[in-house]
Amino acid sequence: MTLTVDDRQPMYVPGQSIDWLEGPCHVRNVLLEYPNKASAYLLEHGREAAVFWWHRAPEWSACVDQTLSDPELPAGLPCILERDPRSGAWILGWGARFESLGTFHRLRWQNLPLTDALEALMGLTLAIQAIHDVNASFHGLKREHLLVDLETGAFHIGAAPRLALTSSDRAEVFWQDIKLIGELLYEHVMRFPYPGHAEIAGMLEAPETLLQHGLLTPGCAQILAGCVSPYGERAYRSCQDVMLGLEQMMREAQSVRRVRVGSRSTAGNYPFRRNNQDACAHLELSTQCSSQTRTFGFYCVADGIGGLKDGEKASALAVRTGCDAFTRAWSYDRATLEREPVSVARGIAKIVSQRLALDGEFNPDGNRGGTTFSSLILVDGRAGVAHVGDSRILLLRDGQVRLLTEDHTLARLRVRLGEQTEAQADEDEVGNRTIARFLSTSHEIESARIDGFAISAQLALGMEEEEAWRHGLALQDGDVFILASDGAHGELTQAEWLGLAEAHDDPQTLAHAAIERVLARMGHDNATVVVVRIGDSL
Amino acid sequence: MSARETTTAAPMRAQERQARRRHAALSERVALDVMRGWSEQRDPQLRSAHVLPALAKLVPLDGGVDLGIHAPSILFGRFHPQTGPVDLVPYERLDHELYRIGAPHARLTLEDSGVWTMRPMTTTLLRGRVLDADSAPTVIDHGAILGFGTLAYKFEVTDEKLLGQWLRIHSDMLKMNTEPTLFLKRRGGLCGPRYTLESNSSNVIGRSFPGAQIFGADAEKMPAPPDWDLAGLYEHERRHVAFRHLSVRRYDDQSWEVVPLTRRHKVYVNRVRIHEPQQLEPGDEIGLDSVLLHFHDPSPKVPVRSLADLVGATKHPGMIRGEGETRDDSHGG
Repeated sequence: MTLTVDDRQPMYVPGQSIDWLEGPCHVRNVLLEYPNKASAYLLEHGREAAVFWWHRAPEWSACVDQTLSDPELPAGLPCILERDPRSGAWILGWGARFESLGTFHRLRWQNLPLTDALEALMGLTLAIQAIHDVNASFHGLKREHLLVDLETGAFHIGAAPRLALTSSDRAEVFWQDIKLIGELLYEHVMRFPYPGHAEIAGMLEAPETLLQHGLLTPGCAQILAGCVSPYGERAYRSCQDVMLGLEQMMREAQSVRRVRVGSRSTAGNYPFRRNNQDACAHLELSTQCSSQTRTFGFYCVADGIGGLKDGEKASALAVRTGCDAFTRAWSYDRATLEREPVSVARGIAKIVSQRLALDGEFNPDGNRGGTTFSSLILVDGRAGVAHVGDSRILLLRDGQVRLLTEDHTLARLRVRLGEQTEAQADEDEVGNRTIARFLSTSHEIESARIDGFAISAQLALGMEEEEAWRHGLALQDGDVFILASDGAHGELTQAEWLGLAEAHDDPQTLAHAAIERVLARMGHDNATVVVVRIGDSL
Repeated sequence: MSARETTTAAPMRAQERQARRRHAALSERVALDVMRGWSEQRDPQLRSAHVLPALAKLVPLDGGVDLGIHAPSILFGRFHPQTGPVDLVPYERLDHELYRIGAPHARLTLEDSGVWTMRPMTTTLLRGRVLDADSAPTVIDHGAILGFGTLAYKFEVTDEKLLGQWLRIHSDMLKMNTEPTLFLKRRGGLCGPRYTLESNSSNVIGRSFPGAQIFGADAEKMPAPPDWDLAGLYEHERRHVAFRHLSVRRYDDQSWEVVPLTRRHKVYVNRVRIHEPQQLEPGDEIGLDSVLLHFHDPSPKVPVRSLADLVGATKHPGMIRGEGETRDDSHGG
């Protein structure tokens, strides 16, 4: 059987084989059938992408021809039509995976998570906009015209039997296309068939009825009001209006990841350790603008090195400068902070190093020390790390402890040189206590020597290079970050950290308990712990 | 206590080095001036290409950065305050790679006969053969494999005729400057950036630092910014330069002296540490830790050294106080 553009051609049924496109095609779904007029079919062609075939009367073909040959037509329309050179029929095809496409099904639509449903509606709005931008209109978009990506819920437009250029920009014409958005949203939120525009319009007039009806989801009533009628003040006039409404609802629907922090720093109870040279600090900035919550966090630990007062001065200056630099980044360069938390964290460490060198030169009295500096930045679900010294940043995730930083100690140096194994390095008491790199008050450190995520962590967490050095690690609910100076991490094993995290949900209690355990062992050093818990989504 | 991961293998190390190189340059990714709250004066001239040709090169076998040798005699190794400045540092290496590099490690010299020799100050491998510290200079020819600590380099002589070009550019640069001038040196030779000394100024050399507002000090107590701001140097160089490192000022009508301004960073003249102000002679080399400057004074009242003397001085700075051997310091090119 060969195909011709002929509206007397008989209709096809699913499973039927068609000889076309250099090989046999099988009809998989019939999308639409108007006897002797439009038909749209989903064809399976070998193992390739889905092929949609619109079979239509010649005058409609001519209209589509004219629309699609318009030079103003933007490239990459969401519904891409190709003309089959042999049969002349219009084919709609793109790289969608064949197996994952299906037709619209109300139950599947209702069971999508709200954010996925809103994404799908936003995609549909963009498709409608693309057609409107070229002065064409669907003249009524129906559920049956839609194709659904079964994995993501995204919509594709599979059939457009009344697609035509429209010279008028009458409100009714616009409304015919976008009213489907309101209907679909109602069906998703209320899990009930759309009752009709008249009833919805009536409900919207009296807000108490909305309450009775249970239509409480924020943003929903606004969109229904925009889509219910082409007339009136609240009617949507353009696809941009629709998008704004959907975006507002999306912001309200997005879950917020809770971040909680706790910290404790102690001089310790060793008789010969007089002061506390450790310092820690954290800064959290959270805004809600247009209902969208953005959170930015900076957490750091600094372990001072040097004589009595020198180390104390250096670590205090380091954490203060770190917070100062982070605030400036948030104030003046938020785009970089959002995009590259690792680069910003390393930049902050560089600035801290310079500030220490400044202080060392211009306030030289009692200022011959240095400090370690380990910092964590959390931005909207991603984490960046910058690190110099022998303090550590641990990540507790899925019952495992990952060391995100590499110690800058003589023991690690020897491991990298191949002079000792990892196991030997663990036993190397002296090597583990000898620091190989830190921020000093005499010399500024080079950027290349400020580490981000350790190589071992990159491998264990499956991080790409761009993630490890720029964009940072994606957060998961339940993550616990622990920043600890060597007085703390040197006394507790990985198993003990996991046990403490299990036992204490509140990060402040966890930090307190960790330090209590360190004190119980009378470590010879100051100990500091900062705990950051990525809580469950609200 | 550390995570029990396997030691990184060689291909991983190469990948890591490349990743570090790609991402090390923070100033390209983040606005550091914005984040610190004050701006540095970074003169782009300080990062311009070397004006002198490289007479030879050390090419690392593991694909790192080539180290060009821009003088007939250079000292290779790490900088340590006790042993003084070095000309050539493998700056892009990480701590563990530098750990076994001596401070200094070896001297590479282009002898008058046109042959290059190496004199090790720390155990070095030449073609797999161990040369102990303080052994006699050994000839190294083009393609020789040198082992410094855990780093292996192939020694490559560029073009033998380049020495003539080198001498010409060197002397042209000096002749062109009729005022007392300080020239920046890199990898042994004058690289281009310079600073003209002013007679009635203290000519402070250092790096940008913030004003009183940012620093939180009293405005009266804040010292003046440096006259020659070296903030634009590469990171591995500028770390050596203090914010107000030294001053070069008139000693009398005919001569100049160098005055150290800080004790945290060292000052060297001809590779010897100075603690007090020291009078300078034309052709002297001033070291700000390991950043080297050539002092040029074409004043006719001072006896001008011959070009041969100048070349000799670049070949054997510091030999005056001995590196273990006694040499006549007027032994020129």
